[in-house]
Amino acid sequence: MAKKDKRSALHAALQTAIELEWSTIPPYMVTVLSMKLTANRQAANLIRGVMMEEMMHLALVANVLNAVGGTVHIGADNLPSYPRKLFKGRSVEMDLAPFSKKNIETFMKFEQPKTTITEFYAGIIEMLEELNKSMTLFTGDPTYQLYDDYYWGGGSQIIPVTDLDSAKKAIEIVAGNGEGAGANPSFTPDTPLRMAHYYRFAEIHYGRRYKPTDNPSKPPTGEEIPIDYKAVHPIKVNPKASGYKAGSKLAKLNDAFNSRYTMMLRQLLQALTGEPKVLYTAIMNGMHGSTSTALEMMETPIPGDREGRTGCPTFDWLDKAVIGK
Amino acid sequence: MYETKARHPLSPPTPDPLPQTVYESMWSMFLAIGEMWLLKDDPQPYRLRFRTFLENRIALHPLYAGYYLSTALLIDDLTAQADADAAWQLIFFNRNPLNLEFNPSLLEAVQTHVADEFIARRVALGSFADFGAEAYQGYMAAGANLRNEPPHYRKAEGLK
Amino acid sequence: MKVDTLIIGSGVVATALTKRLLEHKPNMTILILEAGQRYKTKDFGIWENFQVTGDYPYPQMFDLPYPERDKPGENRLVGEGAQIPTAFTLNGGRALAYGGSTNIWGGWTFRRKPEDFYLKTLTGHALDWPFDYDTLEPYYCQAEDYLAVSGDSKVQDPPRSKPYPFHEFPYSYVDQPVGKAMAKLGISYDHLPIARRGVSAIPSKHAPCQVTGTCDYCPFGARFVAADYMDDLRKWHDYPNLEIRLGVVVMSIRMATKRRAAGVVCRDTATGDQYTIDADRVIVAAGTFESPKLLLRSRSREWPNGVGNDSDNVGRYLITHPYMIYAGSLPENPDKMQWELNFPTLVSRYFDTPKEQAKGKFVLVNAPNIEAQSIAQMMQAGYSNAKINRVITGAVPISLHGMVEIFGQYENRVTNLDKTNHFGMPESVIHFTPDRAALERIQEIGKVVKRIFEQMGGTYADGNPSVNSWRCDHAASTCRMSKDPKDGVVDGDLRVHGTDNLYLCGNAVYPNLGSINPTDTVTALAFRLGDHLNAAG
Repeated sequence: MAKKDKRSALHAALQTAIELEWSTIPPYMVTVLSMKLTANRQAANLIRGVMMEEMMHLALVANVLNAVGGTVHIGADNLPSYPRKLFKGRSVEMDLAPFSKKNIETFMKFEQPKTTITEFYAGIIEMLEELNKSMTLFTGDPTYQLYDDYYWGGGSQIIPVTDLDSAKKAIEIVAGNGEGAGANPSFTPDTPLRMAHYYRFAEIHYGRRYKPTDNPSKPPTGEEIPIDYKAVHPIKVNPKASGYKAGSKLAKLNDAFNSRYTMMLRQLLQALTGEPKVLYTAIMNGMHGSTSTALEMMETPIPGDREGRTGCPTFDWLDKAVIGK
Repeated sequence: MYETKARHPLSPPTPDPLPQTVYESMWSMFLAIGEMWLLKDDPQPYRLRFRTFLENRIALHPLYAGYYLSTALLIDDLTAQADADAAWQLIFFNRNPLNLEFNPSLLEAVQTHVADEFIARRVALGSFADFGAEAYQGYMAAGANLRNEPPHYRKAEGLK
Repeated sequence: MKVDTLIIGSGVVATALTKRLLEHKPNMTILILEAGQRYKTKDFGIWENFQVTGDYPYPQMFDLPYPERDKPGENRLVGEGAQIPTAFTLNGGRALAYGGSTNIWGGWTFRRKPEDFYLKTLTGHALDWPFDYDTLEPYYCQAEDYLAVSGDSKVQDPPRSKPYPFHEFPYSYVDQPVGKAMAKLGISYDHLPIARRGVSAIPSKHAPCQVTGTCDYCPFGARFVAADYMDDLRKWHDYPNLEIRLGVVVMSIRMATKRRAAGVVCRDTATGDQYTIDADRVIVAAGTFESPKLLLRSRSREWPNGVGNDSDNVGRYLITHPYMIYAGSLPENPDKMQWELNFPTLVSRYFDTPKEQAKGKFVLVNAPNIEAQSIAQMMQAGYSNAKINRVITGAVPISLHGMVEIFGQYENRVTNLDKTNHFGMPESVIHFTPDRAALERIQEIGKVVKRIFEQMGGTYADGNPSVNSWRCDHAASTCRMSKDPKDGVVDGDLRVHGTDNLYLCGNAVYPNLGSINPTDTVTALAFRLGDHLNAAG
């Protein structure tokens, strides 16, 4: 393959990684918001932590893509829809669904170590190493890089990417391998926020925390985590906008959510393509402004629904007015 | 935690979009600030945040939709009678070279609720840098006090 | 209803204390009664409104101004202080709201010095504290972690056993001329420790300061506001028996016997309904004005002058900091030096020493003066680009802010007024006459500042200090600690003298202020009180 094509292949792989991280966020968010907090607080905190880190992973991949001269793309045409098969040929299908044993198992499967995803990221590292030997790979504008200013609350850092070492470090973090510790996902019960996502979901699945002395390939034996799969908003799985009657409360809330979500994505794209500071508005106005609308939908029964289900945002691209590019 | 964004009781959850022409008129005023004050920063990156700003103003104070509409009409009138430049001169510098008949309190409302707010927003988004500063009240940038990357304001030199 | 612990007020004391109590006993029934309402923090739309209008976002938390001829207003200021326009301005000087005055504070977070605990022994003024710096030191460390203080841990005056949770903010460009001038005059200075969250290895759901410059309504919640931490307690933990009620005014404390508090009588200001609450213990954390007023109102046969007031000290010895702004100017500004931050980074505690204690220790702060050079305001006034540049590069206003310690006088006090304010609480009468020595001291401090300005190459304005406000938010001493019940209101454990289960925590308990802002100390006291109550069972 010509160098140019190999470079394009690297860009494409990194863009795929961005879409992968992006597509996990709505399912995690919906699960967290569906959980009634007094009963499921610890489990909700665990999943929320994972969700925050997927956002951070997205930023790390964007840093790598920008550093190697690629361009991030986020738009109506690559907006994830659900149910979504997260990898061609894999049997993991993510839904926008309420907290349940089944959906935790799905999350575990998705985050499972030593699978297609691990191979995928290992492949990206190989491409980086190979290309770096044969060309000036890191040609991206350094002002496009995101730093730690934009991320708080989680277990790892956003590192700016300028060379092969920092690019590999960034990908290692995303692949859940801690900070370049090797091929094994980080099993760190002492520092739960650094533990690989798989183990955090496993803790929920088994209803127990891991102890540092536990064998990671066996169930955890630590403190119990209170879980109540019944203390959950009965939201409709994989809702569609057409499922909310025009002019109804849920339709209006869904529009409000999608408007704000869309603006947030546009601002996110701008932040990842040379204007990092727009990320503040995306987070503080967009993200923080949307969650209450989502919750309100989850507390609102769908009129006439025979199963008594409640609403859930549809995460659609919705432009209320044409801005122009 | 998941509190509703502050919103006027009369504002719907999704604000009705401004008519496209009104939106474009407000954007043109925002751009005009750069022309009138010879600002060197590129305003295009501010566009999405400007849009958010207009939506938030209307959500908090529904009357702002009316201010923006009235401002767009005023600009149209002034432009039709003379040109856009005359409109900006009047609105930003309060001169009235063509002795236009207009409602002075309309001008005041436009200046207070639209022009002055756009100026404040634009300066904070980045135009302040033209005047020698590296940070400004309301400017959001990579400002966390990190060891390896201190905040972006100008530092003292030679202090212990 | 009956609760384990009733807390009156929902500011930083209530929040820190509640956190400490619930960490020990998560199921404890704690009821917090707050007279004010809750104001949403970190709202992006409200932030934008503040940023573009400059309108302070908190007017509904404030007292009305003092009455004027054509405006009824609220509260009264009597004594010679009434002739000082900026004395004890309750309006804007304190926040009656969920989260208290930390909604509006600047976050300056200083520790007292060891000598500040021995004012009487060393100078004859006021009283000594019933404990010393070393006793409070570990609690200062906890307070600074809690308030998320960024400070220079190398500074060991006063000594510290643990570093600040976050490192100091670098000096800003506007500190340069001040720091250099001070150095030339042999006046030491340091980084001002400030409650602005930073970034450390410990992750937090609270965002770090991004130096946005709109501290009064921080969009990130990086400036500590007790409201956000009270929210944390309610939403991120399982404390099933924690309850906060807003819009509830406590009218009086009920005593079952002379020594034993039974609970309170309170009024729901939304409905006007009055009711009683029973409690195993009552903690008054209602601020320097409302705490003594509540005690004074709580009269009974056993306590004819108000609970805790047999020795006639409740409400008395009111002190605060005179807060001076000394103004001047530099003749030109070719480097376009501007206030880019909205919080100070440089402070001198050079005069905050035992040597200065008898006359009044003071600190000097290079505090922001944003208004003077606001680009946006100049544009809004119609200045052209050229004119703005001329203003920026021309004569530039400079200022230094000072705070000086003054000493309590028996006659300076706060009492209840038989009128109800718009929160539904009895109004306040502040009786205040500044003493001559304090006024002279303020002029003396001006001479020091003049030398600094001259060393900078600047001029010192006539009529300095240009502002001299006697700050409500630093008011203290109205229920002061004492070893002997006849000298004060509470003991070293903050228990009201003569009672078994009534406590009071706030700036009100300080026999003296020192020269520095009170919040670091009051937060330390709240944690110490929590430990004391947890140990007592």
